[in-house]
Order: sequence, then structure tokens, then C-alpha cells
Amino acid sequence: MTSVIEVKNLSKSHRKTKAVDNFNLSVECGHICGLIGPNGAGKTTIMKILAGLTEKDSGEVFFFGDSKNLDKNRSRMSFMIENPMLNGNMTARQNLEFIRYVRGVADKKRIDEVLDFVALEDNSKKVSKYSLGMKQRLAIAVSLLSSPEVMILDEPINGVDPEGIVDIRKMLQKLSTEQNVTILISSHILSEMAELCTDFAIIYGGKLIEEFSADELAVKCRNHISLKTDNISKTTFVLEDKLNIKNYKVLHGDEIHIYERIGEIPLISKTVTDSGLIITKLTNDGESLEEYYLSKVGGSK
Amino acid sequence: MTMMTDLNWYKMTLSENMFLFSQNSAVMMPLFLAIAINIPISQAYQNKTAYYEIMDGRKTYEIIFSKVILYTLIFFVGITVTCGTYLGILGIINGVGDMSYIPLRFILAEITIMRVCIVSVLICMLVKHTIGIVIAMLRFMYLDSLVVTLMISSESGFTAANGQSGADWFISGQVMRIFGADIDDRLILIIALTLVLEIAFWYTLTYISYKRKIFK
Repeated sequence: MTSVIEVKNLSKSHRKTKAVDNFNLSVECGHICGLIGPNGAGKTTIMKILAGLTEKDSGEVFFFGDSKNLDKNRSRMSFMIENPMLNGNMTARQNLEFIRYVRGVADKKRIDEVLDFVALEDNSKKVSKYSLGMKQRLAIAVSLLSSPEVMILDEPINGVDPEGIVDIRKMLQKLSTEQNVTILISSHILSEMAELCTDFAIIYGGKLIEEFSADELAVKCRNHISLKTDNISKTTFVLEDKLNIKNYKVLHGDEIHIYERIGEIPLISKTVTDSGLIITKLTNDGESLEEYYLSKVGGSK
Repeated sequence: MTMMTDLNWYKMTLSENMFLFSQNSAVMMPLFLAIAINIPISQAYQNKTAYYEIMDGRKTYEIIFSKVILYTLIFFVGITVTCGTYLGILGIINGVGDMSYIPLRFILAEITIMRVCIVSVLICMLVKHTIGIVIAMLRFMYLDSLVVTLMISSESGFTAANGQSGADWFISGQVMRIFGADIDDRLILIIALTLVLEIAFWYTLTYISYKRKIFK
């Protein structure tokens, strides 16, 4: 897998404060990487450096494996940094029309497509009258306008209502799985990040604390499926024979903890049931991302 | 080449209050033009839509040139059409006199207006904030207009006997000479030189600010 975004030993200081300190990150093609950290950790500074809005002090940035043509490669990417960058005196369509000209998107129909994708009604209301959630949706629509290969989103679900958060999560997952769009996203809502991201990078005080994938997180958090049936020995046979699950433990003789294929509970349930077994307990347990993050950051203070 | 002509070279009656041809108007025109240009540009930086060009990977000179060309064209054409129409109406009403020097005066006036437009755009792009309006005001009011006004008030008459005046180095002084006094090679050279120098100065500062990514 090739890295679409790679950052090596990136450093940036604001006066005497080191905002980013020898930061390293690698985001693979088609992945959704979550940048997690408290306020002032350096997330936005890193994204601004990637967007070309801030100059780095040292280090290297690679887009699509190339560090020389960053500006050229930015045309294949889109950025949503800090607050939505929108003209409040224009409507959603007018804002998109403006960006369409700036980014050189030839197809006018693309505006309707992105408005439809983010479920934002095109009305005559000016953006200054929009709620924060609507502005965030419009900002995402702006990001999608040029059909980017990479999206860098700085707290896109900030201030969005719960339904909106779910909608945005589904949108981003759809982009990643169907269109192979690579996404680098930052957010404070760790439960959402846990649902959305395939990779995580914890940043604190401008430094990278840890970088891991969702699968590695599952291992670290001992994320597991707790399964109880009326016949444990037959269940273990079914798991090994039909689902090729080897990473499991039988506890107390009557409960199985499965440590792989965590996201495939429906398949496991169906296979076990189809084998004539009765499930008495089937849950997903383990340490959450939030708990893991706090344990890492707490140790770094 | 020296062209001596009187103030009624186009047979129109000049008065102190005549738009663009009075001393006050020539002093204030660059200022009003700078404010008018700065408002839309500074708004784009205020709401940060101006940064989409940077995030799209456009080269610095492309970003600067595109804004300079766009806003200069809009205001340049607007001013030219307005003034040309006004002059044309006056010419119809009052008739025209010696037309020999009109093309050159017209060209010099256009160059001066163009310089004001370009410098205003560059100042706004350098400052990237509505405070750019204030900077433009400082440039055209205090540095230019006030200096010229002081120079004129201290000289015995606007045009000295040998046609030389320190006010020629300033936009306001140039405008007054173009419309209200004789034109000589020295003035033409000064207009060309100040055009190049000032644009180069502000372009360099703006280019550096973009290259160093000095954004809010």
C-alpha cells in the first residue's frame, strides 16, 4: 500500500512555543486516519501545513510519494480547516459556484450532486443564516466539489447534531469504501472516531504519542466478542471450521471471548445459529478508544 | 518633446469644482479608488474564501496576477468609461479645442489610474484584512495627497516656470499635471518610472508574504 500523505519529522513553532515537534505520520490510500488530541495539541497546525496555509520550520511532507510538487498535488486534495470558509452573503449554491470557478471544476451538475450527497437543500437562504451543522455540511460539500482523492477535515462534526454526525459518518465511510477516497480527520468526539476511522494517531503537545490501526486498537483494548451458547464445545468447532476463527479463549467453561473479526457479529451470530446452536449471550466488550486515549495522554502529561 | 498648452486645451471650462480636473478631485481620486478596491478583496480574506486558491495549489504569482488583473480591469474600465463619457459630454456641449495632445494625456491618465488600481490590490493582498483599507488610505492620503497638497501650497502657483515640481513624483501631482498643465518628457519618464518602482515594491512584499505563508 502506498502512502498518500506522509509527514516526516515535522516541526513548527509559534514564537517560543513548539506547536508541532518532530511529528511523523503516514496515511495509506483509501484509509480514514483519525488525528486525536486535546485542544492545542497541534492538529490544526499540522493540517494547515498540509493545506499550504502555514510554513513548516523543518521536516518533510509527501503527497502521493512526492515532496517536490506539493502545490501541484494539492489540486488532487481538498481541505476543510478550522471554521467553514464560506461567504455568508451568498447562498449555498453561490458559494459552490464560486469554488467551482476557483478549483476549475468544469461540470456544473457537480454542484447538485454534492448538495444532494450532503443532504443540504438548495434554497435562497444566505449562509449567514445557517446553523453550524448546515455550515459544516456545506463545507463538506465544498470539499467534495472537485472530486478529491484525499480529504483533510479539521473537526468537521463540531457543533453538529447527533443525526447530522451519523449522516456525516456514513458519507465519509461511503466515500472511503466506494470511491477509495483517503481521509485525514480530526475530532474530539472519540466515540465517533472509533466508529469511523481505520487508523488513529494520538498527538499531544505537538508530538506523536502513538499511531495504530483499528485492528491494532482492538488488540490493545482487547476488544472482543463475548459469546455464550448452549453447547460451548460445538460452538468452538463451528467457529474454527466455518469461520476460521482461531483467536479466541474459553472462559470459565461457558463463555467464549473472540478477539478477531470484531466487526462481524451478524455473520458470527448467523453461522452459530444455523449450526443449530442457541445463543444466550452475544456482546462486544472491551476498552473504548476514549479510555485508551486517556490512558496514553494521561501518562504523557 | 515639449508641449505647451493652456488650461483650456479642450475648450472646456475648468472650474475648481469640476470632477477629476480640480485639485481636490485629483488628490482624492486615488484614495476613493483604493477604498473601493479594498472592500471586496478584504472581505474575501475576512471570510477566508481567498484561501481556497492556496489550498488548490495555485502558484503565488498566479494568485497575485489573477487578482490584480481582475480588479484592475473592473475598476480601470469603470473609471475610463465614466471619465470618457463625462469628457465626451463636455466636449459636445462646449466643443473641443486642440486635440493634438489628448491621446497622450489620455494614455498617461490611464497609466496613473492603472497604477492606483494595481497598488490598491497589492496592498490589500499584503495585509489580508480590512485594515488594508486603512493602509491604502495612509498610502494615498498621507503619503501622496497630503504631501502634494503641502508642496502645492508652498509653491508659487502649481506649475513652476521651468515646469519642474517635486509633486510630479506623486500620483496626485501627476494627475493634476496631466489634466491641468503642460506635459514634458520629464513628466512622462517620471510617470513610467514611478509606475514600475511602486508596483515592483508592493508586488515583492505581497509575494514574500504569500511565500512565507503569512496568513491569519
